[in-house]
Amino acid sequence: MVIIKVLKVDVYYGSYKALDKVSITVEPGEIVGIIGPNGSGKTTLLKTIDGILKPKIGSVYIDGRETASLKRREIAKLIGYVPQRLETSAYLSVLDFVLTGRRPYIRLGYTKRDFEKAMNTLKIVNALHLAERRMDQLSGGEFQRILIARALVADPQVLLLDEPTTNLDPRYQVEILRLIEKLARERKVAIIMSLHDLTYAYRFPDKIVMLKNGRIYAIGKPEEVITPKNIKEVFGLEALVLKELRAVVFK
Amino acid sequence: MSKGANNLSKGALSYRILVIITLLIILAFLIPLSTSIGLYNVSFLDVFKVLFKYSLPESEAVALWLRLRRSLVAVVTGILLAGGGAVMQAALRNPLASPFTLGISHAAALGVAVSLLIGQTGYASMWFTGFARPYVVPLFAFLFALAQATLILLLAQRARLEPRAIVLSAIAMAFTYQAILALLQYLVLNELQIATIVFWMFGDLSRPGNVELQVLLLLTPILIVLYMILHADLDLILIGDDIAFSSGISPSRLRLIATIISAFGAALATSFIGVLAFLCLVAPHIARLLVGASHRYLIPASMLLGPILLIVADIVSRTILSPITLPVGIVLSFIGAPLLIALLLRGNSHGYH
Repeated sequence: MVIIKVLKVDVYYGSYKALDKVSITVEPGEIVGIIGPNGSGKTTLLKTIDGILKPKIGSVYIDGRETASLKRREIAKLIGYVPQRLETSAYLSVLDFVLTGRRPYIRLGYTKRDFEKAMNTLKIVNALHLAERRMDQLSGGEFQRILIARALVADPQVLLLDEPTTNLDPRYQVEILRLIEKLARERKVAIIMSLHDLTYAYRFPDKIVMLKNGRIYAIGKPEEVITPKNIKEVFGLEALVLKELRAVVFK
Repeated sequence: MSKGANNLSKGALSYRILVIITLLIILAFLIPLSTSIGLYNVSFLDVFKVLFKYSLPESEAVALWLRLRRSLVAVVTGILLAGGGAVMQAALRNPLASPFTLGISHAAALGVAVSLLIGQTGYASMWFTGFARPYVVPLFAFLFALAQATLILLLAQRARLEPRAIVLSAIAMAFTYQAILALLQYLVLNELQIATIVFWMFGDLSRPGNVELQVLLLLTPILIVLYMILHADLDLILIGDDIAFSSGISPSRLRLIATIISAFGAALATSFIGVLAFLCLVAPHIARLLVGASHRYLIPASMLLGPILLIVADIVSRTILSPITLPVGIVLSFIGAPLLIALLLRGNSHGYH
């Protein structure tokens, strides 16, 4: 079964081609890691899957339906998007912030069910005690958990995360990735996330998409894709892949 | 869900509802208070008598109605301006955005100057302004304000400007209008006309008559509903355009709707009472410090704080140098600015709680 199918998409920024004939498929509960240098098209691919960017050629299918034919509200119920950063969230409480994720379900105002859903989701990400905290008073790890809760509160089948471990200390990085892993395994949410850290990319995802200049350079299991040869070609770095430790170190 | 969690969320909710109810009570108290204060002494009780249609001596009833009308004008314009300010601040994601930083007040002032210019030349226009004198000045102010709002929207939609660029270009336009206005004052207008413009720019609550009040009372409830309908979308657009789009709303369309609605509200209020620019800015900020940024509380709180601030400023303006009545806009700035700064300094670490 396939939940997300990206079929030969070309995405342009003006005349600049940001994605070139990219195709991937994702199954429910699968974790897909997107790696590649800055500007290789990681964020562009995530935004294209969510329909924020429209492909010039090719299509994206969710659950067998083409996104271009779906209403915005319907897509919002199926896909949760966790951006790298927010424009502003000051003076919003955590609960209010998570509630905004219920927008695809509400008509005029939030109902009791939306509140319950929000509180339950906060429980899932282990942040129930933060409900009344203001968004600008959270630590980096707490903030990231709340961002994920906001995307999760709409009960999506797919979660897109743009570098979820950036700006976190190592303890929180592992914590967030374990949380993401739990969502995929227990709730069968398909995860597509961009990652910078190749060790994490080796350890957590089931599948790796390696991008270079908007093209898929390699795709497959982590141990097949993350090899010294590929790292040299894509990142221009000499690296050692320690298979027993499942880690990547640079020379 | 655990019971503790339920209580946790209810604590924050009831706090904000409490703030809004308190503001409502303050406003309900201020209207008769403002009506009872003035040169002609009326007791607080008599105000209620008039409200509930007891018959009073005629002179007293007339004085009371004039003052009550003034209070009601303050309430509706306070609602229109403060609500519009709250909507614009979120839609343009800019704490300085308001219908007035979009150049609407300057456009309206220019409209007044133009209406005076037309009134000055030729017999036909003299007849026209004589015939419809009370309506020409507000009408021109309104048309110019709406024209400016349209211009902003064209910039935003056609040129696809970013919110920050919209605010900057609007400020640039406002300076242009100011320059044109100054040029007209310098070259063409006479002393009387200049005085009219200056007085108009202060903002005056006693200007609207019964008909104008009826228009305001008729349109304000519609705008209240329109402001409130946007609450969930405004929360979203505050967070970011991508995330808002991802949650199912179109940021550019919301920005368009929000600008039209609040520009209409501001144009309506400005054309009848003149410029009270500061209210749009200060009321939503104070409201945010009291109830946080969630718009389902922020918009009602702003729409209550606007009238409260305006009535307090009005009371002060009528009593402080009695029998002279100061323009309410001046007093509003004197009260609002220190209040906002004090709250910002104090409330920096606590949004609510």
